[in-house]
Amino acid sequence: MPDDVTERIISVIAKATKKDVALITPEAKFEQLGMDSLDGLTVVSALEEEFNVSIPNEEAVRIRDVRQAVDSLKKLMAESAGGTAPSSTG
Amino acid sequence: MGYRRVAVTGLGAVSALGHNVPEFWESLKAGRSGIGPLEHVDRTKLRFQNGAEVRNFNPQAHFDAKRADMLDRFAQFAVVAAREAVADAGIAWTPELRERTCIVTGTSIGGEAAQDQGFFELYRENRNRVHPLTVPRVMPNAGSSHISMEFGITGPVYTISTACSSSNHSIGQAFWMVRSGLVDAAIAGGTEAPLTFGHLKAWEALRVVSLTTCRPFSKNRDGMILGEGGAMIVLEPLELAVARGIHIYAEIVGLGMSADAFHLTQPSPEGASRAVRSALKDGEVPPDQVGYINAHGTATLVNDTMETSVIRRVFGDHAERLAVSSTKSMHGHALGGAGALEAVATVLALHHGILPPTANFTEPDPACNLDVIPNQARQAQVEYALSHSFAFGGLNAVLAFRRWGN
Repeated sequence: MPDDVTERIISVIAKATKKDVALITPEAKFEQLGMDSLDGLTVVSALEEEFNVSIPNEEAVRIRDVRQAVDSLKKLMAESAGGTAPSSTG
Repeated sequence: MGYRRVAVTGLGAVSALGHNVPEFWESLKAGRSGIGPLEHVDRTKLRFQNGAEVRNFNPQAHFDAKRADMLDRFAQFAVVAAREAVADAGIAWTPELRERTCIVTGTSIGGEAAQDQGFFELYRENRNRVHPLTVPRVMPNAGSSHISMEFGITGPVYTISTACSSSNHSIGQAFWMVRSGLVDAAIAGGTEAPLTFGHLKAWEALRVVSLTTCRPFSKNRDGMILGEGGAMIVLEPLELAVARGIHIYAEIVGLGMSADAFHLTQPSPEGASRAVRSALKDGEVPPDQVGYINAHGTATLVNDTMETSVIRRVFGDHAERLAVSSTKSMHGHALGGAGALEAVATVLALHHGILPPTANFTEPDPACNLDVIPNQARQAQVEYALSHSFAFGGLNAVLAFRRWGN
């Protein structure tokens, strides 16, 4: 079973890219979902909004599938919970 | 009726490298970049920190208070650059010439500062009205309208907005009007003032702006640097320019245009190549006589690799002997004003026999293995030069210029 963060991410991706949530599995790659670079940017921005974090550019370019989105978000949330605020200057 | 040859006889520029053409050219020759920390916005709320701002630009030095109030910053740049270009060309206006002169200006976003200010007051300060001049300040054609009123020009006057190709499309249309005999003089170019907080945030969201500086064709490049300013040039029939004995900087000989019909932000080498080939064809330019290309050269990972492949595809073996530079490394990417600044750089390169460098170059990239004139200007008398613009939306416009012999 996907955990809460994964489920929230899948729902954000579905909403941001106007796709049926059932199509987006935890293993899905953005390319397989027919997403291009602009869809990727839209998803990253929606994830920042949903999780209230700032995703630096170097992290953003790595987010090309659901699994990487989950890993990146968990890492960034742990950093901000641990007192290391996400850098506003990216 | 045959085509007329067309001369460039006046230049005007406002940029991060200065408020006039001599300052612009001095910096380009020295490989000196105008990129630095953005001073007019709150940088603490931005991921990127640097831009190519027009520094110490005081509208009151150029306009009385009432006139300055009517002009958004992008339109102020347009009028200031047009005044310099017209004075440089030494045009003596007559009623007939005013009717037979066209103005075509480019801008991607128009009066962004005026719009930003008005909406800030509405949404943030809960005022219930905006300044009554907001609409005429914001309209993208404000630049060409103010230039027409400045000189009393009553011929074809309009504005073209094709994102980063706006200036090249504008200069190209003006060139064709002079060449065809529709008009006897043209003021053409483009300006932009995009460094408002709202617009910077829009670019931040696209994640294509460098966190450091603009390093075109360098392996460690990490994006573009936004700039502001722009330029205007005066065009007239070559025969007329020769007859009145005015200096001729160069001939403008070709315009090539194409659309990718592919993707909003990913460029296509096929589309860009077609624009370059069209410019060569339009100007009857022998490809092996092109000695310099002022590249689109944004310093994004994608553009510079794509542009290198375009140049190799169009020029074949001659690409090895072509010098290519991106002056955006110095004046930044002024969006709809970029092509006009680059047209001035290209024309002056032909005129002086000095090719401006690609500044901030630190590391060769095998995917951009062209002669990119790293960091140092070079003396070279070339016969033909091109200036590339490849815009978001997949709209491409390329200009071709020819050296005017002494």
